[in-house]
Amino acid sequence: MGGFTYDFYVSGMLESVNLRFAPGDGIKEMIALQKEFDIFSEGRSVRNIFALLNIGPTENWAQRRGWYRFLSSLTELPSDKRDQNADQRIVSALRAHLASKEALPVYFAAHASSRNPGVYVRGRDTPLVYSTQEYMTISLPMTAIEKNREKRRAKR
Amino acid sequence: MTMPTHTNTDADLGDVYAAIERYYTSMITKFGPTPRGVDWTCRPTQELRFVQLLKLCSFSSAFSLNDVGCGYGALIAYVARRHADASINYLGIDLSPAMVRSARRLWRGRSDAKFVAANAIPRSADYSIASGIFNVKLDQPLPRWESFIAMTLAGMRATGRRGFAANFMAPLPHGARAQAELYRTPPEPWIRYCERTLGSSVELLADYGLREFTLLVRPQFS
Repeated sequence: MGGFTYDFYVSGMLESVNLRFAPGDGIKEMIALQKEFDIFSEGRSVRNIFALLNIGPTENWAQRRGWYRFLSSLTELPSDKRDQNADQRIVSALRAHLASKEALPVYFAAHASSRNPGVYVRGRDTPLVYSTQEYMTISLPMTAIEKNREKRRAKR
Repeated sequence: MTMPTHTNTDADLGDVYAAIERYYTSMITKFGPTPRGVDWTCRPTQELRFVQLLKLCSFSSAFSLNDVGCGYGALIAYVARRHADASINYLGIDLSPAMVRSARRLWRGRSDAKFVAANAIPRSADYSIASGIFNVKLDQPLPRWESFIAMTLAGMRATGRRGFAANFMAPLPHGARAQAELYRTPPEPWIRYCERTLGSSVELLADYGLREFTLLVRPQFS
């Protein structure tokens, strides 16, 4: 996550998101919350929505700060839609998805920002090699922390 | 599960009340007046439960409401947003004095909201509601926990003039591992209890996005 938190916490953070959008109870709950409260709506940031839903680390405040700094940075990243930044793309994709007739569970993945600097969304995907379960995948660009450090050193 | 019986007395349930008080005092101490402080995932899931429970109430005129297991009074904030014109005389009742202190601090500017630490409902009101208070059984034996539920529902029936509402966690799908400290039940036994023992009519709300159900219970007038 580009230095926002320690590498070994990242998988746990993604897992905490994926549990809330998981097949079965997770996605059903999210659909119901969206229907009742219109949580994913234009003008709201992913950071604020995830804070409202209490998604992310809950007891380690350093981790939590890093997680929310990462989510805040999404507004500065591109996406696979030319007219939307990463933050807008995630909110609009989830808004449309959760309102659809048979919303699939959602899987948040990570990819190397060197390969693709922006967020991308796949509407129907099987992201888990050990499962045939279909998801909507949202992939977040992430940078290896060492590369960030090298860049900073090079600038000095 | 068989038909719940109502044989325990308040004295028999002393251990249950003490265990609940300890648990929720530790939660509010650790997390403060937040959804986590009353053991909910987040505000929206907490409020989705309020949406169901308050289907009991008619908001067309003023009413009084007992909020049993009120926590820090999160219901007040929800009602202020969703039913801004409602006129409600509110009493929050909680077993945990720490929770009640937190609620009083949070809502000190609200003259229409009062809080009391108690294990019984101290006044009659138009409606009584209870959100999530039957979920965390801790290590209580099942019969004792069900006696606690039965007594609490009977208390709500006795003090709720126009009815009461409560929610319960539903069973997990076959094969899923249940946490032993949580209480899950199908709705039927508690519907029967409310109908036959408490002489009430019951409306069941389910499939609202959470693995649980809500009972809206109204007195049957003969």
